[in-house]
Amino acid sequence: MTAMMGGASAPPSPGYEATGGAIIRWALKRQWRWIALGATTGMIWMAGFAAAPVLVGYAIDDAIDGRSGARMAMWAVAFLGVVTASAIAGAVRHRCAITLWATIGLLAEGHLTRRVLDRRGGIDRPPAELVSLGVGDANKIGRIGDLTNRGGGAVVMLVVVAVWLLATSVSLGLLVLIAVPMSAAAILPFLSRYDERSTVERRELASASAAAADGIQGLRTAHGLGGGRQIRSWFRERSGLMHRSALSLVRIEATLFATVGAIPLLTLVPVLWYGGVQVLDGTISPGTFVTVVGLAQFLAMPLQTLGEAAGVVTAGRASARRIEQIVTTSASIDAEAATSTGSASDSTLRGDRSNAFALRLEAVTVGELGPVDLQVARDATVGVAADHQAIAALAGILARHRPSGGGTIRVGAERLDEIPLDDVHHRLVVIDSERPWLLSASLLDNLRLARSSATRADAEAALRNAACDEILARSDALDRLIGERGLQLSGGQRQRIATAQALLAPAQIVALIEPTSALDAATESLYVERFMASARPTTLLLTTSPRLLSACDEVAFIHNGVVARTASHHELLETEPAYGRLVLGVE
Amino acid sequence: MSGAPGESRASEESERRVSAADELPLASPSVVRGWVRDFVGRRRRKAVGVLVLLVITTAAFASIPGIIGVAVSTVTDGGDRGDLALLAAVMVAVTVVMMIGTYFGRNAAAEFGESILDELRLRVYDATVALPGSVVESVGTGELVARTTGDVETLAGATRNAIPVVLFTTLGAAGNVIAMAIVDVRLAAVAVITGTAVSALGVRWYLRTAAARYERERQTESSRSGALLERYSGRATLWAFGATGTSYQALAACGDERVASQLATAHARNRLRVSLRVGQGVALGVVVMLGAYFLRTGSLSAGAMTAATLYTLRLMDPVTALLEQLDSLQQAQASLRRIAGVVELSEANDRIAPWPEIDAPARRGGLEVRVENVTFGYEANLPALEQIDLTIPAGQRVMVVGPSGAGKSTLAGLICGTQLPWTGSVCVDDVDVGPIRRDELRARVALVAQETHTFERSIRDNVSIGRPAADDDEITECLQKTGAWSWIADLPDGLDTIVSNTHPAMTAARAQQLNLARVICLDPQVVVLDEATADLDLLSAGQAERQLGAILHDRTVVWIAHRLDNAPRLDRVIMIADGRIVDDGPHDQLIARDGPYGRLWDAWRAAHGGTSSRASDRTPTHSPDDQPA
Repeated sequence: MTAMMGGASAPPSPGYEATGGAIIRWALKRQWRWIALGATTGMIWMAGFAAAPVLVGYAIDDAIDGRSGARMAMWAVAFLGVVTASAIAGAVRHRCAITLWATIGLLAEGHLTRRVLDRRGGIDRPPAELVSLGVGDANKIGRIGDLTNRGGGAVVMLVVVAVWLLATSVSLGLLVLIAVPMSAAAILPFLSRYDERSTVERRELASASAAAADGIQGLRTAHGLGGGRQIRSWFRERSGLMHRSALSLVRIEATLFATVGAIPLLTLVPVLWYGGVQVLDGTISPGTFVTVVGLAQFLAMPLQTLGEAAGVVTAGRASARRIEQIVTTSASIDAEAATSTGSASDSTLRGDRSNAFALRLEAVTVGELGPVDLQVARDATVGVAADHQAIAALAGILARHRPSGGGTIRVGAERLDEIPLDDVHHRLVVIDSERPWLLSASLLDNLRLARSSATRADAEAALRNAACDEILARSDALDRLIGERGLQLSGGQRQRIATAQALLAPAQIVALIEPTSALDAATESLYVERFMASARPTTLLLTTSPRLLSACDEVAFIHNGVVARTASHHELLETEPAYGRLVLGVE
Repeated sequence: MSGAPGESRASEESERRVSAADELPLASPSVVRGWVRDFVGRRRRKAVGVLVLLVITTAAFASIPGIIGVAVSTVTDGGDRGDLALLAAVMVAVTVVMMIGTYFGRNAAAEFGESILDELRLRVYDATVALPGSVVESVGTGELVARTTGDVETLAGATRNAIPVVLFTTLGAAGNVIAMAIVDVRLAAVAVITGTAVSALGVRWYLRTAAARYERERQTESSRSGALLERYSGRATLWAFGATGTSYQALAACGDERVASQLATAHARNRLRVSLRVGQGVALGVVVMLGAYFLRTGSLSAGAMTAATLYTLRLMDPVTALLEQLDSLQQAQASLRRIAGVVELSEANDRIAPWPEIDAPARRGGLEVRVENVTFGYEANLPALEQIDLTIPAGQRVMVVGPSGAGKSTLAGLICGTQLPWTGSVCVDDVDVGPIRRDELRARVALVAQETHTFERSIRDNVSIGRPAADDDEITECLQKTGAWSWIADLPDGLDTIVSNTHPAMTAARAQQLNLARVICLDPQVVVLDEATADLDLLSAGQAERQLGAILHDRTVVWIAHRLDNAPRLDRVIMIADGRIVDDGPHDQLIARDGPYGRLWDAWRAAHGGTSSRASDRTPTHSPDDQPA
């Protein structure tokens, strides 16, 4: 299994089979030092808030008793000390919390990324959805890390305060310890209802703004057809819904805020009354009375933290499960199974014609395509003329994005499906140059994706062989930043850069899909001239461009799913009317 | 044909367009202040209501330490249980007032905020939709989407969270100090002065440094999700080159940067919090010492001292919350500037002239298009088209050809009024299109661009986008004409099926069919096709073009194409090179003349492997009008 786990540079991971819970445990375990430090400082920080009413109580008693100024100065210094210690501990705690939040989030996200980028594929959700899932859910898992240190402090302080209260006055302590948690519990139903509703409403808001974005992305289309008014009226519908749903969310929010604010105060009522009675009875001092009232207010803090922790853990687990679902998606290529079944059967073939052909397809089927038989001689340039679907299907299995339905593909003597996935790029590189993908980086960095050791001279040669003259003519040719998805370049330029990448790739065979579809006739001619003259490995061109096909050594014409004939472009034009229809569009 | 000059010109042109891409403007802060005044001013009564409710709520909240102080006074100065019961009742009343105040205050504040947001949302959206096509093209839809959704979201977040917090905390802080001053003005003054003095340094440092740190945190966040999106969507290419390893490194670097930036903002918050709490600690110490002294000298009661101490404990909490919201407020202001910038730009470019009703409105055939002495470019002094004179008679169908970058699409934009010429004019049916309102113009002159967008709406809505009044029968007929009905009829929801760009059933060919159905539904008198069928593979492109030819008969058609297949079927061919018309006439005549177009045609035929005999298959006699629709 390790062979295809993404190679040496992949980050550590809990394994693809990990459940949501296991992902959380794995991430927490890697951060235990920060958790320990955060929990300790979190406790000191929270203790500062509990200590304040205690100190106030003592100070007031001493003041009432008319104690000396030195005594009061001592309390003043104590205040400063406690508050400062708590503040500094709070700062350390906050730093731990952010570290945990961020790193645990990144760990969870890295786990997802590793699976998404895994060569075995199988994940076909839209990338934008995966990113928002990854970032959003990883963030929610990260929050569990934050809560570990506040939560720990909260539990300890609850116990300490409870003991102190009971030691001071059993009846008053019991009153506080019953009234405060009861009031906290009263908020819970509101909280969970609020959570539910807000999730629904926020989702509605998000879908409305997605609709707004959809309208604007289609602005050019709509403008051309006078659809601006329609788009606006569609948005008015959505916006009205958005407005109403925001208002209904606000009403719940207002109820929640009103309750959360009021209930702790209502619990003060019995404490205030009964505590006062105890002072009148002489059971406790006025200072102790102030302390108890203060602690009753303080207790809301750890209880709220615990309530929040429960919510965060629930949300984090749900997020971890969503990540688990994606990560455990079964791969579309099962390299292991292929290796175990294939090795015995072809040992006889190995020495055979291994040197004559760089690439051989034997009765390969996939979907409606096939059986396809195709042989590509070493160092030859072979065109494959087929319709869109057939090209896509063939490219998919050659690139090993999906398994073939049957038959074998050999690269030299090796079966393609037995080559370790991490090694495939040394044998066969398949480039969809019809929809080239470029990084927002310099041109050179993009070219070095194909071969990291490429020199500037290599890169320039590759660009020249891909007819990128006007790109090279710029003074900053190679160092130029090409923008997000390379969008600062024209479509034709992106396409030729994809070819330059393919020419740099250290592979035995390169396969290009429609490398000239966005070029005008003149540029295509230049491209064909340069490309065909360049030193390059065995080349497969999957295309319907007659200009490109006419320059190939031979062309395999796929018709009705099978190779109808392999011959030169001109021969095919004369003998296969369907070929003419395909590449020239003539009837 | 050595066409390198054409291509290099194309790239130069696209570069110019990128560098000239005017960033969308920002409105000035004074404009934003004007907006805020206007928005709030029109809701003055609501605003006052919100403020009154908030004041009541904060007053109730601020009274609590006072009540506790009174309780202490009661028990130390010989009060009885009856007094305590009365205090408990007051406490209940205060709580109820707070609850009611919070509920209605929140609601009123939200209604106030949401109504502003709603107005703002519609205003920026309308403005964006009304932006001239040239602006949309130069800034790109990404930036527009960011302003209409992202910036509005930022504002909504601030309206829903930051502004209430700021209001509550400001009022809360004020209420706290006022209540303390009522209890004992000396202690209040001392607490505020010492607390502020001790915290001042930290607060100043925070105000100076925090904004940049928050900004960096946002940047690292967006660059990280950008990097993720890039790698996720390009994973097939990464696999092809075996380059996932470098991606992990790049992503890890982005992650580290993000953590570092988050820690930097955490550090800013920490320094703020520590300095505020230390300030509070000092103030508390001073209040306790002074309070005890006043108590001994008899100028303060035990209850008042208790209350003053409790107020001091609360002194800095609202300040912390307030300062931590400053960043959101700054964000909101920046967003508002961006939003107002779009609206200003859109209003400045508004075209309001109606289509003049000169003759009988019953004319339904094609209209004449006249381009007179037009010069236009994307960057000053670099004309993309120079002194173009061109008359296309009503009902004529013209193909515009030429190397890419020659100015074909620019010509299309000018005819449609998307771009305004530097000099000269473009007239359709003798009306100068420049100042005409877009919807009026589009009912007559439609532009079908290369990229088509399928809206995430029903098929019905998608087809009738240009003419919402179309009924189902008409829509079905349009779909039948483009061949789309064959697959739509099989859909369980038929015309109600919600489609989108990413809908699995929507192939490029189907999207193009829907788009052509839109044109038929709109039925404009002049149709400009800008590489409208270039994205399809040859087989379906041929079908679509034939259908289009059949549908558009008797309309004026300007067809921009880089494939020449259909040129022989049209009435006239115009070749543009380097910004000028270099050949013009019926296909056959131009071929016979062997001018620039003749050479282009030969190159095209040669490149596409056809023999000259094949060209004769495509004479105008093989007219698309003969094809069944």
